[in-house]
Amino acid sequence: MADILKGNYDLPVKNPDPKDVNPFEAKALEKLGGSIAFIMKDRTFKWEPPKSEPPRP
Amino acid sequence: MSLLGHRISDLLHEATFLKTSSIGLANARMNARKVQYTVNHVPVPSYGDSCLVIGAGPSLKRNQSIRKISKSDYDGIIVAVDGALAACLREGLRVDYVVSLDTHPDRIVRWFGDPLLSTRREDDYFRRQDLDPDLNGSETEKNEETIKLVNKHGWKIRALLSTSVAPEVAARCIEAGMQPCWWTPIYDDPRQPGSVTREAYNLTLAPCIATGGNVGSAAWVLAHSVLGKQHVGMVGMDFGYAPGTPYERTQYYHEMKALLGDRYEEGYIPCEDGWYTDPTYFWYKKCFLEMAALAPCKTYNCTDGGILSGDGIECTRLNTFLRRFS
Repeated sequence: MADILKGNYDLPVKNPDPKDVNPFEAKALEKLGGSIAFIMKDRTFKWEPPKSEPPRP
Repeated sequence: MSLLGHRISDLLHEATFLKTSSIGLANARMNARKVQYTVNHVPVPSYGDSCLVIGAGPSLKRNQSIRKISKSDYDGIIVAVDGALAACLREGLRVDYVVSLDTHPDRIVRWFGDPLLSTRREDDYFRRQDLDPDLNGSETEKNEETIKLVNKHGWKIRALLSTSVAPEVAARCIEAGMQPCWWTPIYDDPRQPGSVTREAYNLTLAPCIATGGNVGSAAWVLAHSVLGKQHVGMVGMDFGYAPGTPYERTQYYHEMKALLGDRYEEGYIPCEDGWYTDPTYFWYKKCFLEMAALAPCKTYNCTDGGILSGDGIECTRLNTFLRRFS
């Protein structure tokens, strides 16, 4: 994933690191979070493993 | 006021993964035994090359969007999110597909009519929520009405269910005559070792679908990447709260108070024309804009309200979309 997501410039603003959040905040943030979200950067909206690859156990 | 809200929004991706991946995976294990069809088996009607996604945001009722659609000659496919299903059926609108994603153990089944409502723990969510205001009062009576409507019309509707939903949701759909077609939500990169998505996929072999964090965005993804429609319109995709909405009627009111205490109002993010949003919905908007820029379809936001606009989205009047695709 690192080579998919690697950018080519630095933003002037540093995003807050989730590890900086205290445990109380983290717990409350968990409840604020919505449903699942991960966006694959290569225009993949629907993914299945290649047919040549068997399902892993 | 909104800086705090923006900061919270930036942290939500990690928080969401922590919150939903374990519950979603547990639900997938329980749902696996029920998986007969996946979205690869979805029959797609041949009429039209457009799809209308019906979200459950406040503009749906404010603009009487469902009534406009039902009175039009629109001949494309209609996909409703779970929270909009009852409103569509009350207005007599044909719904081809309903989508459900959320992992909540007992709230989501209410959108389909909850046969076990009287046994549930006390929860003020439906009295407060703005997704279907008709459910705010007379909960028992409205629930009975929803059960009847869904039972009557369910056989005509295909349920596109994420494997992350609680097993009760699938059971209710089957009870109502809806044949579920399953999909796996993308939690993380399925190509990486240790992927939760891949683990969930292996349980059911249901294709992995990007969700954008919420059922409305997921319905939009299904419209173009499963149903193959080139033109996808959306209504009720506000991602925010109408002017004048009291904070206690927002989706995450209790959670915002738990996180921020007396400063909870500072977590909300003001937008244009009196609309405002919370960190979660603001994050949904960011995710959607990222996806819209990559999408293989033309996206029309016909919500006529809310905060969703940007590159890759054409904001257009609903009547214009309906006329074009009638």
